[in-house]
Amino acid sequence: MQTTQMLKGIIDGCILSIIHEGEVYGYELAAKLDSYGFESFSEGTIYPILIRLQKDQLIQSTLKKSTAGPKRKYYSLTEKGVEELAGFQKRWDHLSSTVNQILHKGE
Amino acid sequence: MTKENEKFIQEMRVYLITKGVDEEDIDSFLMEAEDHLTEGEKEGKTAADIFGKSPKAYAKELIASMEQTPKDNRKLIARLIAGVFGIFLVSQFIDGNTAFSLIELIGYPASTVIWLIALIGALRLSSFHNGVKSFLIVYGITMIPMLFTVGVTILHMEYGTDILFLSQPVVFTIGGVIILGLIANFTSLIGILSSLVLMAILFGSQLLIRLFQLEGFGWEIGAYAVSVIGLLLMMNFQKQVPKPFMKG
Repeated sequence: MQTTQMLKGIIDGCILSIIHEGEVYGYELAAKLDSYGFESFSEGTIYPILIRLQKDQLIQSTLKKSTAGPKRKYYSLTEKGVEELAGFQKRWDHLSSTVNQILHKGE
Repeated sequence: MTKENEKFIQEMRVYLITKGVDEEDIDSFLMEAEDHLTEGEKEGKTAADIFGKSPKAYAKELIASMEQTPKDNRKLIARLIAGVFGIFLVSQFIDGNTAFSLIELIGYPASTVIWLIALIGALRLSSFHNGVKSFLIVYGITMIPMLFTVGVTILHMEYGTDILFLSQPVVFTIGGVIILGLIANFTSLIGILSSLVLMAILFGSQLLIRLFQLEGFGWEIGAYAVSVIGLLLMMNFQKQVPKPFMKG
């Protein structure tokens, strides 16, 4: 299975977590994902996800003037988003410890 | 922005419009995409690096996340039918045709719908292709409704009896209202200046033929060629002056 396939279910949670650290705009978010090690992740993929998260009211956006000139859309978490992130963290902790147990059972 | 990135933005806009995506959503996404491309450019990234090798596949992913409702599509289709029919009716008036037979009254609205299907199909298919290929696709596909329209005209000339007569003042009033409506219709898509230029291109050559009473097939073809060349020039001009994506 490709890494991108595995990523599909968990990228939403990772994006929520990055946005939780502080307001970000699209390019910044992609750069942060890259710096955390998601190099193979196609940058443009974040936009359909951001649109979906916003539609599900997990994130919200505000337009702010950027230093470069044009306005930029900055994303932040909604209350519902913070709750979803907490839920994701719990699910992930459980899943990763379970998977680790299976993979490293002989060690 | 590089030419390649500008092309990506322009084509994405056309593709999303033809898929019935809400204009506000398109503007909102393209604003971010343009910003991303500009930032990426500084690090030597191309549109393909950022949005993948297939812009069409990316656009589909984007539309799926937006989950377009059929209502949005209906609005666009109604607007386009009105637009195409309006253009057609005004050119009939300019041609001096103010009396209509049953064949025309049924045939022309039907040809409007065929024009519309062909135009949307042509724009969708031609998106993300190079200039010559995209021109050939649009040109090839629009030949179908054109032949249908010509067919209706020939049928009318052979068998049609006029049943609806419009007087000069009625023609001027309807024509004027349609042109104003068309300008309003296109303004939200391409801006007011381009809409005015589009009207001049669409009706200008026909009007000249009428004013100078130039008769003959050669002039008609010439007028059509001028319109097509004018449209192409305008599309090129549009590409060089990207529309500001934010309103207000």
